[in-house]
Amino acid sequence: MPREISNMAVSAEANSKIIQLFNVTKTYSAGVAALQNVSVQVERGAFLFISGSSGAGKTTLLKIILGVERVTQGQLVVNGRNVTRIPRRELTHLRRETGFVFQDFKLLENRSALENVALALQIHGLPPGDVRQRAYHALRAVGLADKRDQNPLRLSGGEQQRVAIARALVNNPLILLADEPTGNLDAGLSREIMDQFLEIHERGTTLLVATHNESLPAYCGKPRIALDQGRLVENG
Amino acid sequence: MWAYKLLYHLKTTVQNIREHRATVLMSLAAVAFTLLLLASYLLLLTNLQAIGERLGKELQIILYLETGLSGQERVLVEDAVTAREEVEAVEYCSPEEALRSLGEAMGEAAHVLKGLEENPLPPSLEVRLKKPYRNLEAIEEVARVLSELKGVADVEYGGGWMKRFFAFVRVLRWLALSLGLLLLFASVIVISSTLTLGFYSRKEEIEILRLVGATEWYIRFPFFLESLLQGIGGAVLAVGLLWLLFQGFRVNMGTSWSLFAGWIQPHFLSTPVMITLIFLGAMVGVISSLLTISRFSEER
Repeated sequence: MPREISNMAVSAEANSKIIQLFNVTKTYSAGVAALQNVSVQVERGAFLFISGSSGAGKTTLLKIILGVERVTQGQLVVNGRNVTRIPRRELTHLRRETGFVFQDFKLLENRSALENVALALQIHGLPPGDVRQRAYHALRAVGLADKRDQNPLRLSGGEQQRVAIARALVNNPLILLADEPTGNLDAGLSREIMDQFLEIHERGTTLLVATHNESLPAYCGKPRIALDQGRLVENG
Repeated sequence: MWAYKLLYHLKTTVQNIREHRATVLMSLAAVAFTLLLLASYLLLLTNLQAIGERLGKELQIILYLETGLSGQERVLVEDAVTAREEVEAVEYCSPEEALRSLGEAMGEAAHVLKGLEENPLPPSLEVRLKKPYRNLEAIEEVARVLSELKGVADVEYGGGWMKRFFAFVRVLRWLALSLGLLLLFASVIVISSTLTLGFYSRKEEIEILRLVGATEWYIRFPFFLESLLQGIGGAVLAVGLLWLLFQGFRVNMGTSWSLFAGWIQPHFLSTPVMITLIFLGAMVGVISSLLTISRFSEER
């Protein structure tokens, strides 16, 4: 593997592989190695689980793909673009192609469900009418059209997570990253969220779901990779 | 597209201000107060300057003539003075007239003059200059030339205290500059602290905005707008308050002020000074936001 991968070199592979990690290591300032020499290739349109116990490096892996954390060593290519040392300006483009869902939902409590979803559209400078319409459609897609004016605090955990999913999908991202999306939900609600993900996957979106719940990959019938103390111990 | 973005920014700014009403109001009051101090100082300076200019216009030159001068020699001096382009009028004052004026001016204490064996006051010429020359520089120059005339013993024009007065105004002007900078710096700190609080309270929203792909400028702009509004609002409030205080001063001074009326009128700040103050407020807002925002940028 060449030490530096140019954008031209990766473009040929970009059609089939949407995420490529080459010997990625992430070390935090305290010397803690969150990821060690991890290499993963994710096919375009794949649905892949990342499993592992708490502290295995699942969240760090997603944060690196989303550009929240920087790679200490190795190379990262997302959608044909080498994003290992991506400048801040290009990072916004990467993030507009990538939706995210977190365990704690990350919804704004002082805004309605619709306004939370609209936030992701307003950054594009779309007319308010279009923003409302698209946000409404995204909420309808996750079955929450009737709850659009509700404050997130008045929604159940499952509903809050579905609002977060609607926000992640409203810009039609190529990739959806989910970090413990069912961590705060019971088994029934977890399955509802997984059904939602399967639907999204059927529409062609690439999904990467980090979870410590061993039953979810089996429920969805999708492959998984496993991390343990920052090392890749099982590759889908 | 940018118009809609601006609309969303305005909405966010209004929402921020509404959510942190108390903090924003306190910050606005603090900025208004500091700018009010500066504006009051400028008002005092403006009026002192006006008084100085008015006094300068009232100045006249007194030429003290040599005592043994004959009538013909005195007329020669008078003609030489009148011939000068700067001179509007010349009036002769005999030693007797001068003594009588002095006695009138001394009032009850005038009796001390009665003990004088002879009149010690010299004859003099009171020289009034034409309007364009009624300023300290011109008066000084004319006085210097006239003092060299034959038959002139001494020249007086009150230049000494005028010079001291203008030096005092100059010192005040420098003080205004230093005080202004200090107060503006204080305003920057106040707005900056309010913005910092705003950043912390909107930390989650900012994190979400970054994750959905908002540019740093998109995130920063509402804060920029908020601090700009605080700066301009504070300055407008300061000018408005000062105007009310000024009007109150004029009304309350009533008759005592009317003694001066017709001689010198109190001036409020001129329009350019008011615009400059509001511009300074805006600059305070811009600087505060730039200083604060840069501390909260996403590290890459």
